[in-house]
Amino acid sequence: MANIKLYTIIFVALGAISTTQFVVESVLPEGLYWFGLVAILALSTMKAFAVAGWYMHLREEPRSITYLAMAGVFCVLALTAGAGYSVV
Amino acid sequence: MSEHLPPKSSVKRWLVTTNHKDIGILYIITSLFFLIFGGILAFMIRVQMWNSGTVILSELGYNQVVTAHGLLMVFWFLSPFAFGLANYLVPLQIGADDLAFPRINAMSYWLYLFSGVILGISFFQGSTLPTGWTLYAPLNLPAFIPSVAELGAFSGILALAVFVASVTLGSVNFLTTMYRMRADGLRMRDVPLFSISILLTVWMMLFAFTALLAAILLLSFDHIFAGSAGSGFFGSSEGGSLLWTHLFWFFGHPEVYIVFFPALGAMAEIVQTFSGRRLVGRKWFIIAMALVAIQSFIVWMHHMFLTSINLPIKTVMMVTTIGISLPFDLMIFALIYTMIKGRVRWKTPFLFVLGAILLFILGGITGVFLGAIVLDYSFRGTYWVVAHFHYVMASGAVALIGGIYYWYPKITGKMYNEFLGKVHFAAAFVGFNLLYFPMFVVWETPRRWFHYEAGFTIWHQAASVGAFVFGASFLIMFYNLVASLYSDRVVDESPWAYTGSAEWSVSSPPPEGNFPGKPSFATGKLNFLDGAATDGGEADAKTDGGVATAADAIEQEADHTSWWPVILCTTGLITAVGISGLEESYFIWPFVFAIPFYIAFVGLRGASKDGFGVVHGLYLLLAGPLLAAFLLLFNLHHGIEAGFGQANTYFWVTLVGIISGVGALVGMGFESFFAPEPELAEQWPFEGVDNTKLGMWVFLSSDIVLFGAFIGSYIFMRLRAGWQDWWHIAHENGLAEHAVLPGLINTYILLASSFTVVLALAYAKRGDKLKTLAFLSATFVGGCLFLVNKGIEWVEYYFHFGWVFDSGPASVTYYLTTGLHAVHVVIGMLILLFLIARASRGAYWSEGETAHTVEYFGLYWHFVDIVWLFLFPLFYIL
Amino acid sequence: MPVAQAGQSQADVFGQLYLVFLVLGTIVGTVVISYTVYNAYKYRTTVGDADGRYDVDEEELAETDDYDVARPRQGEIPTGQGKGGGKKLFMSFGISAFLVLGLIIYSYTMLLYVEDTGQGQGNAIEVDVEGYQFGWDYTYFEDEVSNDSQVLASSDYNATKLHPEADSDALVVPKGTTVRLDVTSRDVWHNYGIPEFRAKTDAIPGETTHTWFKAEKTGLYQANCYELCGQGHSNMNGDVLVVEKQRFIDWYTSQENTDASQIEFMEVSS
Repeated sequence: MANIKLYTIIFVALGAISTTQFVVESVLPEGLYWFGLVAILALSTMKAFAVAGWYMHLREEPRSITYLAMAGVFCVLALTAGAGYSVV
Repeated sequence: MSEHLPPKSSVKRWLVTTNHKDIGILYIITSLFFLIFGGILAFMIRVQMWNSGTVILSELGYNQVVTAHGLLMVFWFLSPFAFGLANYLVPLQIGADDLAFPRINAMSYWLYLFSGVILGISFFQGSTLPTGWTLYAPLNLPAFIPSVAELGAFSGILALAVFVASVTLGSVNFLTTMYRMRADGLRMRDVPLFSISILLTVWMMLFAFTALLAAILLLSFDHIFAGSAGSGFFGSSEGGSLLWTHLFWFFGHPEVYIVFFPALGAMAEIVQTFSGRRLVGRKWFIIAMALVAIQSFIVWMHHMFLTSINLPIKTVMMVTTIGISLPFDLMIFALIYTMIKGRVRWKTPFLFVLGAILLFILGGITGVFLGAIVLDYSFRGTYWVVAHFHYVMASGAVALIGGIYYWYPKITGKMYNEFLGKVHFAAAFVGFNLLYFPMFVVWETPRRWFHYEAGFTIWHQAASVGAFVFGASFLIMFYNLVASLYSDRVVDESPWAYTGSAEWSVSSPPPEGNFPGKPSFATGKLNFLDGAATDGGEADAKTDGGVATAADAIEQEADHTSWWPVILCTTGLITAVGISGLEESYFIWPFVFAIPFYIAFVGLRGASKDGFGVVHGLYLLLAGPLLAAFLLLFNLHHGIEAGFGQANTYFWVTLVGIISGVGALVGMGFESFFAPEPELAEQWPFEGVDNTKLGMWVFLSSDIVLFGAFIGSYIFMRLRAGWQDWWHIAHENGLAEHAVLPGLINTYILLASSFTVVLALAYAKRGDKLKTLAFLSATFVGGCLFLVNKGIEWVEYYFHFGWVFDSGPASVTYYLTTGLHAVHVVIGMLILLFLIARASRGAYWSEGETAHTVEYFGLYWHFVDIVWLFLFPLFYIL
Repeated sequence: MPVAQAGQSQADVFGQLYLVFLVLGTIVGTVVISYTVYNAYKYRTTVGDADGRYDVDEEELAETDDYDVARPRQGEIPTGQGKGGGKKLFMSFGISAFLVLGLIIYSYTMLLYVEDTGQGQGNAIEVDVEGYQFGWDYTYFEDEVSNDSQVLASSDYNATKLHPEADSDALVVPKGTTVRLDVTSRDVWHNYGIPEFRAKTDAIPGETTHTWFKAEKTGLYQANCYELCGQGHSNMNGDVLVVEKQRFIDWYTSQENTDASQIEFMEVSS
């Protein structure tokens, strides 16, 4: 049952973080937009790590599986940062 | 279960085979066919260039020939030619029986062949793509493609999409195989160089081709839904053109190395053998290749030096570009120094590789010219570029031809004719230089022009003569390779002295199971262990003499045949041809109608395979009303009679293709196909992850890039439009309001469905069938709720606000990205239906296989969930 | 090596740099290729295998092997190199790295000149170029003048009057003066290039790119399209007419819709 308890806690936490994101958006004043942006994306990243780490069992797999996924993320970041930077 | 392969003389063998050696041969022969196809087109170019303005082709015709020549040579000849060799050799070199997923390997081949067939068909649909192989936007859009060419142009794009599907399956397969199935004792760094080069190539393929897939999906959207100038995704004047070049070259630069790396691997092997010396600086050679593979993803903007990108990013790209040229210097020097103190024999394979090295040196030096941005400015769009990349790319082809001569005795068991081989080399080398060197001299000729200065004529004519010599030299090769099959020059394991890798230690051609026993390098050199227990009672899965591995395991022999790959891919071919002419208002319907058929097929096939169960009955009962409901919707949209009456032939072709396609998919899903995983193998760094799980993760990693490219495109367009003005612009374009709440609700729903999948897995592991089924079903319901909620949102935006697909960059990115995600959800739900049906009858329950299948599915579903976790802030909150 | 100096045109810079690259490239290419062929020839061997099994006899060769190098053996794990090669490999790698990096740093200074200081701030003719299928439209000083009616466009004049062989919509520029081009496209992706002056830049719908040139000789030149843009691509060229400064001034000021203050700098300098 330990697993199921842990999964439940994570599920509740994920829901709570999502609610937080929603609240941050609705209460944050306009001037703090960029602060909000960073905070909201950071919260999303936290959620993604939680899902990948526990639900997808990345924590229990060899670390190389994480690197494999990170290789894809590296490509995305290179493309997005490069293309985005080239026009701003 | 296992069926033996029919003899090689039977046509059936080549249709049903899943054996890597057979598929390798199919790849090689097919790619040579496309070499002839692309070569004839090249020859038409050279005839057109005989005099300035010689006209054998119309303007449109010339553009088509230029485009198709480039596409065919790069996609349908060079890479598949190399992958024919790779298919044949990699398992032999690493000591595996076959690839990890033999049926998927067969699918890779059939998708490759049929994608080429689609490109061929496009010529007969009025005209194929007339846009150049780089397909720059917005010339690649319907608004700027002559109406006579639109059908064929879209077919060309679909051909690329099918090709990418083939490549992605192949990448997953090769990576899994090479990481998990190496012979005992064969560390990754000890893998022969050709296989190492293939490993790095598939890594690049996995990510680069996915970026191309993203670009193609977006472009297909434009072809279906956006007809007028300035509309659609890449037609948008808000950076649409520039975005295409980013996506294309993000793929396109790694593609250069994807094409060249296998040639480099072949060069290394051949230089080693024919110099009788191990490659000098082998470790550094490998490190250099790995560096290039990584760096290839951060140099793409050097193809865009004259676009509106800013100077700092140009500088960064110049530095990374120069950085990437240096490892190549090291590799070439390593090859040259290997000859020193060698036992060099000027046999045909060596001559071709030596020739390739010389050509590559020239191509490399002229490439440094292009690395200097100031020079690049002037070289851009001229024959300098044409000459440079032909020296590089075609030198790769020359090296691979050397590879064909080198491995021909291995593959056929016969020796080729050495004299004719040398004649071929001489003619090819002279022809090559006569063809491409004059292009440097008259580099001022604008690329893709067939008008040029009068003074250039003699040089262009020399090039045309060279093209004839180069092309004709291949006739000698074809004759040699065919005639030698019937010669009596039989070879045993190896005709060459100083060979090292494992393929030369088995007979030529190798036996069906590749090795006389279980290959092992545990003692420091290759040994074949016999089938008896080798490690604490664990038996070799290949041979029959072993001890059972698990308590109740049934001894099984590996399967080598399946009809499903070729059938499934044929339905894919039919569907793709249908889509090319599908009208906008009909677009979604064939796919919608296929869903009830899929459900019915799962019910029927499941009942006959696993025994009838309640779930199957439910599916069969559900399918009819669902189809009726969809027909009702179709009636609302088109009117049944009018709708079906006015549907064009392409609609019916698509419908037939997709319905038989889901049938084939179900058929393949229920086929039991046994591909053993070696029990004793070198599996660094993926020990303890079984093949299917690793394959799933590799696939997900590429899917990250697919979504990433969509999200990256969104961020690019939003940055360009002004990040914070985004919603303001959307409101101006008709979005009355954008609500965050539906996004939040869908986040809850999707998170909950992830939770239920993970619970299903937990209970499956405990053997609690009922709870497993319950939670799988709950996940399915979650998917439904998500789609309903999403549907309400789309209907609100699209119909009530009139914020259609094409209402500016915000709408097009929103609909396409969330749409791609929704398609992933739907696919997940269809897989769930399959799983629920199987799990309900307890298929494989005793072996715990259901738990595994649930786990793999869970990985996919969680990934789709994670994507949403980013779509939610990006498309709703921020 | 020559360095870019103020007053040089893009054509000068290209000419210098190209020459340097060509000379070095030829030398390096000749040396490396000769060295490769020399070694491949020098270490040739032809000891036939008596059994006819292999192309040469490994065992017989092994008896006379004076070199301490690792030779491949069937079924081996390829570790260990024997002597030789490694040091040489890194030395030649170092030399080539030095050469390439040097060349690129050198060429980068040229790039900065081309991108920045060479463009003669302020004292330049500003022309907007708009590509279309299949030709070019020019507009003089569009962003500089305050009044739209003071914009001279190629549709307003007839360049044939200046030169009998010139197209009526040719780009007309003065000799010895920097011309800055802002280039875009109204339909598909083109690339605007005048090979004679080594000016070239992409013409992309929705984007504006820049290039510049300075013509040193009067006469009629050609601008080409360097990106496949459809059926007329192979014929997509336009005339560029270079005239004496005074003639340009007379021509420009005689047109309607012009703002003479834009070319004051030319009269001052001439």
